Amino acid sequence: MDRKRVAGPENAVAPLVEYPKDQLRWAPQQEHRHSSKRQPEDIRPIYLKTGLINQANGSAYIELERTKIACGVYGPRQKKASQLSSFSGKGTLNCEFKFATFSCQKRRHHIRDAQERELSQVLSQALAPAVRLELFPKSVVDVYVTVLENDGLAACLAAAITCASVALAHAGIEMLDLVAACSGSYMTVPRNALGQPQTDATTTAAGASRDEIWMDADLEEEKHEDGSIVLAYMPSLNQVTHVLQNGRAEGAVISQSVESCIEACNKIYAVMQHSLLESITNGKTQ
Amino acid sequence: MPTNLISPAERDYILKGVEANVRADGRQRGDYREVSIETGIISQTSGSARVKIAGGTDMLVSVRAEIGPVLVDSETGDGADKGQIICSVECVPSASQGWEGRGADDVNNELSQIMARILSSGNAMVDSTSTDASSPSATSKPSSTPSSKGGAAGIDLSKLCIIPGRLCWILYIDALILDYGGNIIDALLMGTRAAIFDTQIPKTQLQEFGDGQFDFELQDDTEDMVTIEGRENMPICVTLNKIGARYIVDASPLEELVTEARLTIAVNKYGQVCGLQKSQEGCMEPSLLLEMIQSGKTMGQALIKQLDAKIEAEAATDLSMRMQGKPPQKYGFFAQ
Amino acid sequence: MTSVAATSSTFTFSAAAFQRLHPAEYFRKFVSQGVRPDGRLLSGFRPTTVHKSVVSTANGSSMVRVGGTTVVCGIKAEVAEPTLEAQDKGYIVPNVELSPMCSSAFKAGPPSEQAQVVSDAIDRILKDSDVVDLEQLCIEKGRAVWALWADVVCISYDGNILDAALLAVMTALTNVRLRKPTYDEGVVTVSGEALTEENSFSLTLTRTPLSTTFAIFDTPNNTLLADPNSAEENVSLGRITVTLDEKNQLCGVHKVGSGSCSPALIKSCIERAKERTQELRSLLA
Repeated sequence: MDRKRVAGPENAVAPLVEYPKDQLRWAPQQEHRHSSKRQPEDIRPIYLKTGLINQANGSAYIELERTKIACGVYGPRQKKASQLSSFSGKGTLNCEFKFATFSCQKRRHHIRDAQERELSQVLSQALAPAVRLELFPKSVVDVYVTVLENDGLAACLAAAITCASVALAHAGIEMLDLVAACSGSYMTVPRNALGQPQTDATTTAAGASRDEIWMDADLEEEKHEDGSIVLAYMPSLNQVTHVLQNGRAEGAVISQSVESCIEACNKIYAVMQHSLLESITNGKTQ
Repeated sequence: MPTNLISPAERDYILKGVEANVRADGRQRGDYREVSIETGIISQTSGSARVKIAGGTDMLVSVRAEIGPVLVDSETGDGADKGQIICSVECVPSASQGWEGRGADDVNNELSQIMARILSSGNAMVDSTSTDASSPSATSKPSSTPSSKGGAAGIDLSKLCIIPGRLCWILYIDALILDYGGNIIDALLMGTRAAIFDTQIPKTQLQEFGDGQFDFELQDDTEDMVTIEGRENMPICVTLNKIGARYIVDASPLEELVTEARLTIAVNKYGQVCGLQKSQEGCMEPSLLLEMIQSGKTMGQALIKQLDAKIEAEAATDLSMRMQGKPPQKYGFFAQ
Repeated sequence: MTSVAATSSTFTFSAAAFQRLHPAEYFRKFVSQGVRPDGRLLSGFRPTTVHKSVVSTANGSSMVRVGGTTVVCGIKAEVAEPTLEAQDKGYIVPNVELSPMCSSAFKAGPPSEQAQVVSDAIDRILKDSDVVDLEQLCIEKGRAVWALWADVVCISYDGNILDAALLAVMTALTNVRLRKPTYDEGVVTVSGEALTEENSFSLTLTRTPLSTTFAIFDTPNNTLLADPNSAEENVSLGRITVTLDEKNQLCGVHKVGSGSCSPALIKSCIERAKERTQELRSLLA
């Protein structure tokens, strides 16, 4: 029992959602993504702004339509005694990834769960290759990411990496390159489905569907995916800093998705550079 | 192991060795150490396996089948006719320096999550539109890590359902890592595959009372157990460690300390990639990444073949022993 | 800079260094001139903006900015069992999260003392001032009621969190839309179709209390600083928060910190709070 928060009822659950029979949910269709304006390779428009947290050394906010993420960077600052258990010539990059309780379809908890802990680790592994940690031994750079709204988990992780990398640059922490990240989802799109959602697709014969990679899938699309990939990439150095894939796919699909992600990362990179330049011309960098 | 240290001389020795394709223990870059697996060694579980890699890595994987309520997603209503798989990995704190104190929590969590993700990723043989992996509403889960309700790595989850909408089998896969000698993840997935192959669950018979009420009967005949369906489609994984410009498989503890970036590639027997994850604080070029995926896939497929042959052979020996009325010969826990 | 001048008449340092070394003294210089370092008058408030429906995964949400303080409030509705004492009443559970992201003053882990104080103050205002008739949240008497989790996340912290958080909670409460539930044998179901006037409802608020905070700065007759930022909070003795509803009825006066203040000072706080809450109400509409 959490005594430090205002206590609510125990065992609260989300109500069951019942969809009327005549009103079917969205399902992948030929030439139609959930947001019909997008093509498979299109990512959502990005709004990226630095410096919204004035107490932080660096901060950034990213929005991809409904996905909203804020990131604050503190440091380099001295490690706490408990973190100094062993000497290391390199600094530490400490990332904390948190979903706001109201950010997902199902309510999340205040306390970090296993998934959030893993995403924190992924975040730090994706950013660490870019940060020159050898420049500040015995110090720690804290990166705090809060997801305000989650519209697609893989896309959310990718956006968090992009946002955190811009926040690190905004904090003036020396880096080799910015890290851009993008997600892609493996979709099986039924060929003959014109407005016919494939909820019970056991009847879909092989060959009647085709595999596509949809970049930056949103939540509805993600519910129908076969798998997804998140790729973090340093465009100027041509280095992949992280890759996380789940779901099954043929080798050729993987190669194709890696290439598509790199292409999208290059586009995101331009947006990142633009927002950083803007923060300088506005005279707001520290 | 973040707290383990390595001297510059040792680092250099390993780097040059990997470059020259001669590793400290005489292996080449693509060579595995000897792996020994024994199944059915814990009597109280539904299935179990012990995996040892010659360099020291030693672990126990057990599968416990229990009957529990189905996990239904309140938003989509999915999962009503599916069983569940819940993974948990625990490292013995004294086995490695890096597993002491809070470090162990992170390692346990990372390994549990990797395992859950690989096991939940895409049911190879079931039609893909019904695999509904990793919808975020289903992934907001408690500290235990149920693999998401989609097809679990070939294991046919719908066959684990007992009464649709009410009860199902829950497979708890618990791994205990007893000793650390490098390459934990590969051994973990091999052990899981072996343990699932060893798993037998009682048959259930559904009874209908007419008014929409159901009940079921558990058949307690030990001779009449069923195996887990779709088990042959389960993936295993191959972890490649990038050292310098090259990469190696099955790294020893010292080699893991030199590793810049690590790539875990999960692959099933059809050569489909079932998961990819980079770890460690390094990076790699996209061309190298693709090359690593390709070779991981090839190695993984070969490894599955060998593993299956061994598991089958052991099962056949056990069976023939039973036919002769003798207990199957197990080397037991302290076998070397 | 008198003490410095006494030891060495030639030793000077920049305003920024003075601010770091003697924040209170630095501040006193400004206050004695009737202004504040950020250019506001002593009674000046920072620009305040309110946005509604900012998070679509929440049943109701809002974002409030008060100068450099930015908070987001999201309300999630879940179904819970009512208590035995109040079988037809739902729950509203406010919690304020002051994460280490919003300021270096906060540490990771369980809520800090300050976060607890703010959450508790909002909870008390909601309960004691009878803001929402909780019977609106009843689904099936004695069986199921709505539980509204009103969580406030602070994105950027620059003082006066209570005013911002309370404004955010009130805005989010007016923004809440709940789908009409059906109750059947212990299972609560809502329709998945698009929100319409028919299949959902809003909450009716009995009153909307809003607060105004003043910092007490240590001068001979205690100077009041309206809407203190975080630097001002750190140099002041304490804070007085006055909460008023739309009829200017007092919903609470809350004083934290050391230092005493005269009844006249509190009276003047209330008078000034009246003007401020009227301004805020125009933002809410």
